[in-house]
Amino acid sequence: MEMDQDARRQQFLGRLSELLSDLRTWAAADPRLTAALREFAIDDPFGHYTAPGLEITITGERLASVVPVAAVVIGAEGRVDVKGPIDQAAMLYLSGPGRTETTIEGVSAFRRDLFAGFEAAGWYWMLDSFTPHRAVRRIDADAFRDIVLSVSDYEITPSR
Amino acid sequence: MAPKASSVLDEIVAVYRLERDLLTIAARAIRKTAQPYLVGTGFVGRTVTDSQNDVERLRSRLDEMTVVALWIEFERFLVNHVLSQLHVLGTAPPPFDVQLGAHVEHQIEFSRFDDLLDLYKGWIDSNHIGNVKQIKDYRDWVSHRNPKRPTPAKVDPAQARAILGNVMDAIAPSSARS
Repeated sequence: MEMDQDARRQQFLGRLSELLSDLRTWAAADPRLTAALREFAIDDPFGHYTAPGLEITITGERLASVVPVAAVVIGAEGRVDVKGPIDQAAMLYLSGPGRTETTIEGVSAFRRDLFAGFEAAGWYWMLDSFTPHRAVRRIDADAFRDIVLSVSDYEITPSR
Repeated sequence: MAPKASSVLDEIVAVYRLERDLLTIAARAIRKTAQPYLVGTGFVGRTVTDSQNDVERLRSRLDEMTVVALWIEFERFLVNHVLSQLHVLGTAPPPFDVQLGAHVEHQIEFSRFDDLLDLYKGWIDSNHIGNVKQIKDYRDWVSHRNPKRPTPAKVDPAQARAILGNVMDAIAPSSARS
């Protein structure tokens, strides 16, 4: 049975909470960083509501903001942006590779996945590629470090 | 080998990437308050935070307008494709055949775009047509910001390029721009 809007919004918030927990853990590996929770306003097809995000700072200076954007995005099931002083990166929640197919008289004539690099349901970094297969990279500690570097020129350095 | 139908979107993408890079350069100059690069610009005299916020707003606006530009190209492609599929009745006498063709062409040009998209149901999978319609809703919202209409699902330029380009390549696998 298709989930109603409230259930889908709660599902997004649950997945968001897990993502933020991971990001805080990875940021905490660098003793110079502070990752504080803050609320952000969301306006999407599910309505107006608030959702948690992060403000990542270094010696009081903003390094990056992890901003929940929407529970409903085209082609995916949630979007969170990492915004820094230099650039911003998008993270989407994917449940599948986004298989699209065309048929002629019932026979498959064209088949292409929207996302290349999909492994399993979870959060993915949308790489800056404009090929028919959108290259994605699963969010892990290394990917998060590369994202922060790309948006802020700062490299997370875990303490030894 | 003939270019993919979606290759017409690549010029828009190239301009978008250049503009994104220019914003990155500006953002770095602002962050470092690099006066040699900022002299003569409106950033002189403004706070770093305000300037960074402006760059961020401009980046968001660039994303929105790029999706609009991609949509314009896709819309023209689809209308031309529908028109190209018309086969004027071979047995119709002139000038009726020409006049009939002109009449149908006129109707297609002024059709609701959703109706044209629905012509492809059964050929293009319905999820994909749904995604395309959502991009159109987002384009309409960017262009008009009508407060009476619900907030649409967002899409970024790379996603729009992938979804629209896939439809174009599925419909006309190896056609040049029509």
